[in-house]
Amino acid sequence: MTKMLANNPFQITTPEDLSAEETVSLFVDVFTDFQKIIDPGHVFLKGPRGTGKSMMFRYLQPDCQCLAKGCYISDLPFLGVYIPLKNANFSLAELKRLENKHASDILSEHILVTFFCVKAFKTLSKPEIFQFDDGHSSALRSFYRDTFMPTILSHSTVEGNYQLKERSSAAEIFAKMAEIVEAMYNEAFVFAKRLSFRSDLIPYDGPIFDYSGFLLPLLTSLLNLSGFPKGPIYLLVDDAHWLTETQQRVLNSWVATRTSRRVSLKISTQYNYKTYYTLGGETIDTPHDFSEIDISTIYTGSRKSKYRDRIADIVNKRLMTFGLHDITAEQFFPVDDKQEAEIKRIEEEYKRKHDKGEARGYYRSDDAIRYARPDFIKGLSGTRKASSKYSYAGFNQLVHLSSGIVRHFLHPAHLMYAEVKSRFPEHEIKAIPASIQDEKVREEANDFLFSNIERYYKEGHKEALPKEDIIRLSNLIQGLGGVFRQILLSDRSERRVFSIAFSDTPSEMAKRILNLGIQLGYFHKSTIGRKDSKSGGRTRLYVLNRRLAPIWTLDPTGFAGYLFVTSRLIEDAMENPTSLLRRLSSQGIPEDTEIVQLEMF
Amino acid sequence: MNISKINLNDLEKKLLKSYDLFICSASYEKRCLSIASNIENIKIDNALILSNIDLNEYIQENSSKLMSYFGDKSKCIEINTSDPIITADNLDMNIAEITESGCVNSILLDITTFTHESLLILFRLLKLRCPNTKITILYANASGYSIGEDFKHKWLSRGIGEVRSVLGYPGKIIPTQKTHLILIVGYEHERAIGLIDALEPNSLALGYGRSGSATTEKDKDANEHYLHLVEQMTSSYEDVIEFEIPCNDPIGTKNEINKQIHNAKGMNILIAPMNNKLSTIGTALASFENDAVQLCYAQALKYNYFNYSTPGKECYILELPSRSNALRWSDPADALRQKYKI
Repeated sequence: MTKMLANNPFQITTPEDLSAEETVSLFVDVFTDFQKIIDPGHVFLKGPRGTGKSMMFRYLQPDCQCLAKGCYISDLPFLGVYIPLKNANFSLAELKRLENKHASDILSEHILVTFFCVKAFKTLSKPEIFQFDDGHSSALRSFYRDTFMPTILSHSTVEGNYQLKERSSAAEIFAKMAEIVEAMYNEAFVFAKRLSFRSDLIPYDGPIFDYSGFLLPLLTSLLNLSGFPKGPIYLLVDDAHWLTETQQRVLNSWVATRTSRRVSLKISTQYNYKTYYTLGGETIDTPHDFSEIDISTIYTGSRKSKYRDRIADIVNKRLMTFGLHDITAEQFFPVDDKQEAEIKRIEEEYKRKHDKGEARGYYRSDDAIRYARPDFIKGLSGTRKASSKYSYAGFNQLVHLSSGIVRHFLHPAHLMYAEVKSRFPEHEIKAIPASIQDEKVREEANDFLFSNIERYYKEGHKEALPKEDIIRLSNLIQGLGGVFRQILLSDRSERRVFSIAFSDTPSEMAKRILNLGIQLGYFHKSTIGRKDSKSGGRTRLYVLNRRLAPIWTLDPTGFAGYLFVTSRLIEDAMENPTSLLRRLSSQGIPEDTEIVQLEMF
Repeated sequence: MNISKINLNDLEKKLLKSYDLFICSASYEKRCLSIASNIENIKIDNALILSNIDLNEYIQENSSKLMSYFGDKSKCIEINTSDPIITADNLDMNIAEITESGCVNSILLDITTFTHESLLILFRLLKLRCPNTKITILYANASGYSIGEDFKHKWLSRGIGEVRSVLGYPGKIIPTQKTHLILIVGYEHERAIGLIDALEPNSLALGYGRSGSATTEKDKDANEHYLHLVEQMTSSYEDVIEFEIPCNDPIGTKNEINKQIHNAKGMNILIAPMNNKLSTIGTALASFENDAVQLCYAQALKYNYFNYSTPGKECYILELPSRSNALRWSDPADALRQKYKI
């Protein structure tokens, strides 16, 4: 069992803190979905927090790659250098004194270059990745003497004892280089600290390094040494949204250099990356300068089933590492047996109807899959306290509820495990009871919608989202949830609906509020063919986050249909969802809305 | 350094005959008037009233009252909750103006309604510009908070904006080291969770108010919220270190923080003071003794402007000795210059 999972198999930790052994044992290979990450070329990997970006980058570091492939660094196809930017001191208040001054560009580049360089050398200071004989160490020593130190000394007036110990190993030489460059990095911050209470700018007389004159040649010359990979170096820049706008322009300028055959920048960021302009004022564009991957689109689009497999692999690996060798994800998160038996019974009825020629679907199982669970939920709707009777237990439902974000599976799973442990401290936990699974996902859904919306509403600073828009968004979510619930309880041919698309041109307000919903995580976006297929083209699909499903007792297991709506209906929902739902309840869904069935998966 | 708790009516008796400078911060809380309204105008030679210009609509009334207490001896200093540079420059300029125009031997500092950030910046500036000055700190308590709300719905601030280091407390962050966050937890657990989520430190220590050391009722309730915070953090941090601080004793707080700093050797240490202002003073004192430590601050998006608190009847009084070892200013650049013989 790893230290990380000592108490709870669903512990979440920063990948940076994982050892190579832990990373390799827990990582689930996803690179078939993200081929561009492991191919040469600059990439922006976008996605919300908790989608596994950092874990992917951690796995590409040489210590993990060597362990996973059972080889040494010289055999690797590329050299991955992990550069986490969180807590990297780039938001130092003193640096604000330099903002919008020309020196800011130069000092920002120096700080980034030295930081990246320290991280690169630190990555290479792990002895286990090398299989150097004396000849190889000797080549690295020559690199230190003939390339590294002259480069440093040509930029710096700093003196110090930088002699290598006799017979230093490769790891020790890299550690020494990291130490030297770290001193250059620190010097910039010593300067910044002197700015604390100075409104006048004081001169900086320390070294100044840049990307094309320092970092790029230094890193690429490493690749010419024997014992190093012959492929490119990948700078795995994690959480780039943390950089200031000036620092992002510096990074964009590096992307614009198109040097990806030697050094590729793999940049992960959340959706709030501030700028795609360079220091020179040009933009960087896809696909010319970089490729872009939106991780949430991949796992909420047509490849949802891959996401389920990925989560199953993650859970199985964690359970195994925790010492639960013979338990699968499905066994650990069991379904509510009584409920599933009843749903199974309804499925069998549909199959019998098919056999009698009374079915709507083509295949024998079509109607069973499409209607059995909605029928079960519908059957509950007439009874008292109906909403609390449907159980969201079971691995498959939990996967669907996590809506494409790994952390949204692991976090409630952690809470479930902790709950069971606190109730039954003496027992070995081999499964999470269905009632506890259901209880925790319902709590999470309520927290996600009501607490968060309330928080956004109460924000009062000048950059806060307009209160009217927060109310409209809240209304829209409530309205759509209610509409989807009505459809689920109807006799329509497709009742499992969780997405909308516009049948006409959406108003600016409708677009603004839906985009706000995407920004805050309540909707995902995708595309589908336009309703008027004769004219071709595609239109935007807005998918409600499945974490919300328990609020309206929706079926999360397969949102196989989407609703074509008019802009007017969406605006009605934003202004008065109760009135809209009352109207739809009495008059039915209007004729200009249409439920379209997606293909099964 | 002695701290005592007295009735506000007895404040006059505890003060010196006169002070060269009085500093306080105007606020949307009526509590900002508690100290000033209990000091004789005649005792004060100069009064600096800090006013957050971005909160002007909420604080203007109290700011005018504070100005009127001290008449032509008072000067309003514009500061900004979202721009520490403006705060520091305006504070520095005005303190320099007063110190250059005459000797400032004694300062009376009412810390009650400062933001944590502006208090820390001022404290660093005073140490830098007035190292030999006798400083008396006052802190007025509150009798209630989040007025009119039941316990479950009480709130002081909502959300967090920018997370930044505090100007004047940059510490020494080394790229190759891991990050340890020491969070001095107060009532605002939601803001604390936001800060931890934003920083994602490698390890976490939570300091909470020792039972019986509360300066207001809200600090007692804070313990309830503290448990919620710990529960929220357990999915991301396997070993959350917990420790107690005496909220009513800056030196005691400093000592407890120093122990935590000592235990986290070899890591980049960030400290976020989020409990009461007395414990924030303790945090500043600890950072003066540990140059490598960085203080950080999560700006609140909104405060409970209209119902934050009701003033209490007591205050804390604390003398800071001048030229205290605890307040020694040292320049972290010196060590590096020595190392590389610059």
